[in-house]
Amino acid sequence: MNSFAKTLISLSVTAVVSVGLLWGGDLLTRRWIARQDSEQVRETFGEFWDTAHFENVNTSEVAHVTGAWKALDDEDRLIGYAVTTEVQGYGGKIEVHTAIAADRRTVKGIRIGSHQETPGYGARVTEPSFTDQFSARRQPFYLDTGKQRTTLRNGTYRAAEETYDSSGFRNVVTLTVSEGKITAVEWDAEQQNSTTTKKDLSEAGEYVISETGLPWHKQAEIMENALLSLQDPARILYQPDTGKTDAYTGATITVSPFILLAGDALEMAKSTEGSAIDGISGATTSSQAVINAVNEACSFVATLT
Amino acid sequence: MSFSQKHAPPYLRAHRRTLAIMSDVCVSLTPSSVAAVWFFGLRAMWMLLTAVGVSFVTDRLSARLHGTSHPFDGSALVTGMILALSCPVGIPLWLLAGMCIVAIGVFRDALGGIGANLFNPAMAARALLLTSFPAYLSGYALPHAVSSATPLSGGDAALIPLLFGRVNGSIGETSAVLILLGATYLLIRRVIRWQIPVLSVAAFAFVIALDGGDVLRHILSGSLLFGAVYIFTDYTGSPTTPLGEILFAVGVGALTAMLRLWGRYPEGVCFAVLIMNLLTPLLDRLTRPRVYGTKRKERSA
Repeated sequence: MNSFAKTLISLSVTAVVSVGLLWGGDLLTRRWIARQDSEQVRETFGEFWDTAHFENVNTSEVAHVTGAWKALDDEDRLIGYAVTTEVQGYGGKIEVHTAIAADRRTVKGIRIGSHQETPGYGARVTEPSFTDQFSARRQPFYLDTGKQRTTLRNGTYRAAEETYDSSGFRNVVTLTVSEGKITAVEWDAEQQNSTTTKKDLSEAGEYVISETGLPWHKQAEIMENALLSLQDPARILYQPDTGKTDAYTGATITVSPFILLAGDALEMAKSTEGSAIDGISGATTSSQAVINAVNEACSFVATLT
Repeated sequence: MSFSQKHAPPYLRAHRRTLAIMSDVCVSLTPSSVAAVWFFGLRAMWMLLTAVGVSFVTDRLSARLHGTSHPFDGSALVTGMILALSCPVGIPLWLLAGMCIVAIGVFRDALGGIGANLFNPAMAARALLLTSFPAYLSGYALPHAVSSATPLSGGDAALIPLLFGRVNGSIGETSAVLILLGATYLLIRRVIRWQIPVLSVAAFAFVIALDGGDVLRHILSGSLLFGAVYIFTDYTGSPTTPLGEILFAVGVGALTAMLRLWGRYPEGVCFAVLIMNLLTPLLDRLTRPRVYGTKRKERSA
């Protein structure tokens, strides 16, 4: 038998023996490792719930969340959530353990796990003076910059004109906000004493502005896309005296109602809720990374059924 | 054969060729490679294929560039496998490929080719890239999970997972059982001798014990066992005399422990072996046997 064949046989035998050893080792250690994992969770999060036991929650394909558990009391009632997230800090990955109350918004406390931050700077995120700031406070968390921070609440917000115009329409703008951003905009006009809207009529060809320009619903779409892109109606350029804009090709209709109503809807979405966190001096990146990790943990828990 | 026995010439040439030796090393690396794929998934397989492929191509191109006609001897494949197995699963493939090119093209062939290289090529490339891209080479991952601390960087890991490999670390270094299986194969095939692996681990354990550390956990963690079997025993980088081997083994084991305990990086195999590679010519010179037929020099009174 030539040496190549001998090598091939040796390779095959070694591979088979290795697989057998690995499989056997897996069988032997599986239960033990599951027990260790459970004890490790208890050790990590036990300080937040004295008598809890933990039930694993599936976190596969969730970005940044490396582990999550439901905290249950002796009667298996839900008393909170334990989430481990991992984010990019200044020197490397930071592991953050977050204990969240059963209301899914209040953080009971956090602990920093492994990290590679600079000693004396980013590494100080492990100190109680920083981590205690999260205890018994509600998300979303943000770095305190001295200014009050405004966030957008998730939801759908609708603003409409109070009266119908001479042609029997009143403008309505509906905004959808998700994760702090405007994700959908709709501009339409309700018709007095009818369920048919201006958009319906325009799409059916029954509401014609001019023979040469774009139909109304297409021009409305241009403005909707502009707002989606800019995320703030105040940034849409228009002439207040005429109510029209020349910043968007094809939009010749009066846009001022849309801009004003979109502003009203956005005001409804704004919120000053949230908790400011004092960052570590000289370690803004590390501080912000921990804040992001806690917010991600809370966002994950909010999605659980 | 005693430790103190010195081997004087004339020597007989062994009939084994480099290709046969490297084939044996590849076979012995198979358990660790299988474990890498078992624990870390298909990415580990891609890492191995990339490293082996790039190493092979670099080896052939380098031979052409240097105008040499040395036939394929398998050493590049071994270097590639060792490099892949000593990296974390999250390393970008382009960085791994770069390490292979630097290892073969620079640290091996540019310094004289196999047998003439001063440093272990894989570890030299690893050291260079560890200092240049530290974040990529220290982001260790749990098997089938996202990264977390290794047993060496403060994470807690009991012994059973360390034996079987269900811990975080470089893809080929986590399963002590399978590394020892590979070592057994090499010993049976007489590719390596037991002195360097055993004495290096013993010296390592001694320093850890002096520091009051958990000796067994330290031995089973990190890349010590992998290094003791596949890296410290590199023919070119280690002395040729028995006493030189002993001194080398003790030195590299002790240095690994010291760097691991007090150094900046969580493991010291890489730098320890490079330091001892530098000392290998000196160790060879100090421990070379007396030339057959000559007398010892008389000491002056």
